[in-house]
Amino acid sequence: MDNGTSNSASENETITLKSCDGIEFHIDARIANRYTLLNNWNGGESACIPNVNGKVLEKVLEWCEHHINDPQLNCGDDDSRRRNTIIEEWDENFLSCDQDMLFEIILAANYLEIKPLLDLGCKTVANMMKSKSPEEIRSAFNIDNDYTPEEEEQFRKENEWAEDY
Amino acid sequence: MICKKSQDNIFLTVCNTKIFPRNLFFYLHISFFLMASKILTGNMPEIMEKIINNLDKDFYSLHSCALVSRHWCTISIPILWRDPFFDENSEFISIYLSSLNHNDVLNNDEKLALKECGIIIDSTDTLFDYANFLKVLDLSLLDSRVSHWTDLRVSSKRKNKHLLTFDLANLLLKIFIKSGATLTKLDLYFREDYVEISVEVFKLLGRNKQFLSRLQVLFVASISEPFMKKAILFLRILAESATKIIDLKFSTLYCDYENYQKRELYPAFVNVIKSQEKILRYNFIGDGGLFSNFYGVISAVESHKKVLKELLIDYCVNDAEFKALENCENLEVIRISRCYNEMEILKTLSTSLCKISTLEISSYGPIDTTHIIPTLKKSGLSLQRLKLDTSSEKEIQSQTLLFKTLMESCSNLTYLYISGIVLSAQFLDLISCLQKLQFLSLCWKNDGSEKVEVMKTHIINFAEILPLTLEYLDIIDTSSSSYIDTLLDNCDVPLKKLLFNLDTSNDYEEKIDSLIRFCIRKKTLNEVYVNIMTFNKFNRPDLISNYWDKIQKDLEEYVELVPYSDIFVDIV
Repeated sequence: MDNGTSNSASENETITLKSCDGIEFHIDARIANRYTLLNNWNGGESACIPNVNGKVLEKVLEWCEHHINDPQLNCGDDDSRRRNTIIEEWDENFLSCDQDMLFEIILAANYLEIKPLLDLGCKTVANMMKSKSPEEIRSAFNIDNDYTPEEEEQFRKENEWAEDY
Repeated sequence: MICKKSQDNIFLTVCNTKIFPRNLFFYLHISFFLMASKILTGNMPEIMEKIINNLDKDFYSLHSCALVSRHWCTISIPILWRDPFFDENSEFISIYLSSLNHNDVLNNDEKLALKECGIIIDSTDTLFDYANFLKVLDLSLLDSRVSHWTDLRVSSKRKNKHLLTFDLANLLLKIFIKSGATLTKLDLYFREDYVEISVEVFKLLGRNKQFLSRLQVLFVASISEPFMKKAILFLRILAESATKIIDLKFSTLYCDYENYQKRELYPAFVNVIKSQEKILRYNFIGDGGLFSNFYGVISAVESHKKVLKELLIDYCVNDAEFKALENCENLEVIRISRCYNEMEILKTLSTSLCKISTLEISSYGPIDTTHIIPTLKKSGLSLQRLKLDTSSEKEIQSQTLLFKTLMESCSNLTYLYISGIVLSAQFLDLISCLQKLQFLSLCWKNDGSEKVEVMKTHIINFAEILPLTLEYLDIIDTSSSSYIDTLLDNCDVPLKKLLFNLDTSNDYEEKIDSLIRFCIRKKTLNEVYVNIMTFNKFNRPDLISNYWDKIQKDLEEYVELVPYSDIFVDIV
């Protein structure tokens, strides 16, 4: 691949993807070409995507289509330089969906090995935790507190420095 | 039960994944909780870790996450304690020191230092072996945090406080090494103003090679003469322990011990370079023009030239060693700054067929673009970031050819920083051609010979052709700031960040009003930096501060006025 600026498939080429619940999507072959798992159609004209339903696959493909001309990041050995919680406006709007869909998109991106979408989904969830108290996070994600009071007290004592940050 | 000092198993025995609904609301949202619970309650720790990793150095949020549940704790705590020295609150040092127990062998100085600082050694275990989580260590920050921590505990009148800092900082290093921690990033300083590494620590490092074995990012700051021997010893241990360094930054400094460097320091550094499997980024900061030779520290990178992606060279005089770096097939980023002969270096690096995505040339002298054109043509659409910055009074040479090449070959540019140009029709054509441009920093030459009306026409044309993708516009270094009102009134671009000069003696109200009009019209601008120019004889700081407050007040309803250093440009 040429630094992400071109794909070997041409613009007019399309392939058909079928979700696990049988919904078909006709997509630009360059999208499939770009991501390893979508590319598992082995040059054929259609591919089945198990584990991802039509509703989620539609969203994932919408994202792929919007980012089709993005340069591919291939300095993958160290992504700490890119670690921040800044999200572009289009992506922010795209993931302003209900949390159910957000987590489904993350799982689908993970399954389909679409790393930039996985990173974006993870950033979005991280932003939902940012500057929140433990109680607010528990409430946002329906998590039960399974600490004993003694453990919690000792934890707070040992990590007090971070609470004051 | 919590299994103390065993991070792998901690909390796992009682990890509680309650996904059962407690009321009707949860029944309606059951699928979300199933989906979310899969990630958030322990089934997919790798995704959970990826999420929490985004909160790196956001200590408050990481602390909150760790308190959510036991599972969240096991993911968050190693991230929270990965780089605690980044935090200005040095209280975490107490936790490291209180993890010592009676079995730890301490020398007398360390015992006295702990006693003086009120640390009592007992057998109470901490929940985790926090030292084991350390991944990032910066010796300058270690020094600073330990000094701060001791300042809070001992009298300011105490003599030789630096010895106390020395003992405690080295004790911490011993704790880290013995804990089995494996660093991924290390910043080394061998200078009078930072803590000196003790002989005991050197011995420990020699015996515990794991501490440096997973190092990926190394910065060696300029070394001062009294610390030369220790620096060389450390580099030798590094060459024996570390093989995974991918990002290497080495800074040298002129002093009168060139022979020492030639005989021992540079060979030791060359050994570190050669011991690595693959160096992807190499940054060499020279001495500002006083040395004539680098004794192999640049040519040693030859062994990595098949994988090298980024080469950043600052303040280098001699270009002979760069011959070894011809034909770097995978080079993507070249930054050459303030070197003696930037064009010769670029010519050597451009011999390969590699396509560059970032090219930055900063020069004291004039830039002749005829030497850059071949690299631009070869890189073509891969080139996304270009910086051509000259401090020279002279304009960039062969501008028309440069603009023509960029238009024909490099229309994918997202970042352009260019100085020493004139606001010509060709330049305007170039800008209108860059339909993906997001960041633009300009410094164009204007000798004042153009009439005001002609300049206004140029500025209107410039404002009208700016691409709609542009988010960041920096015209601090350009005379066009005098026409900021004309520019903004004719600009339809949804700018998010704007940086410009403001001459307080010249139509202040008009310029601020134009900015407010732009904010109301576009509603996209969220950060503005104004470089206040009072043209006061003494450039009095209090006058600038008064103007800053006034501008801030005038703009408060419309846009945030922020310091220059706070404007963040994410172009990695």
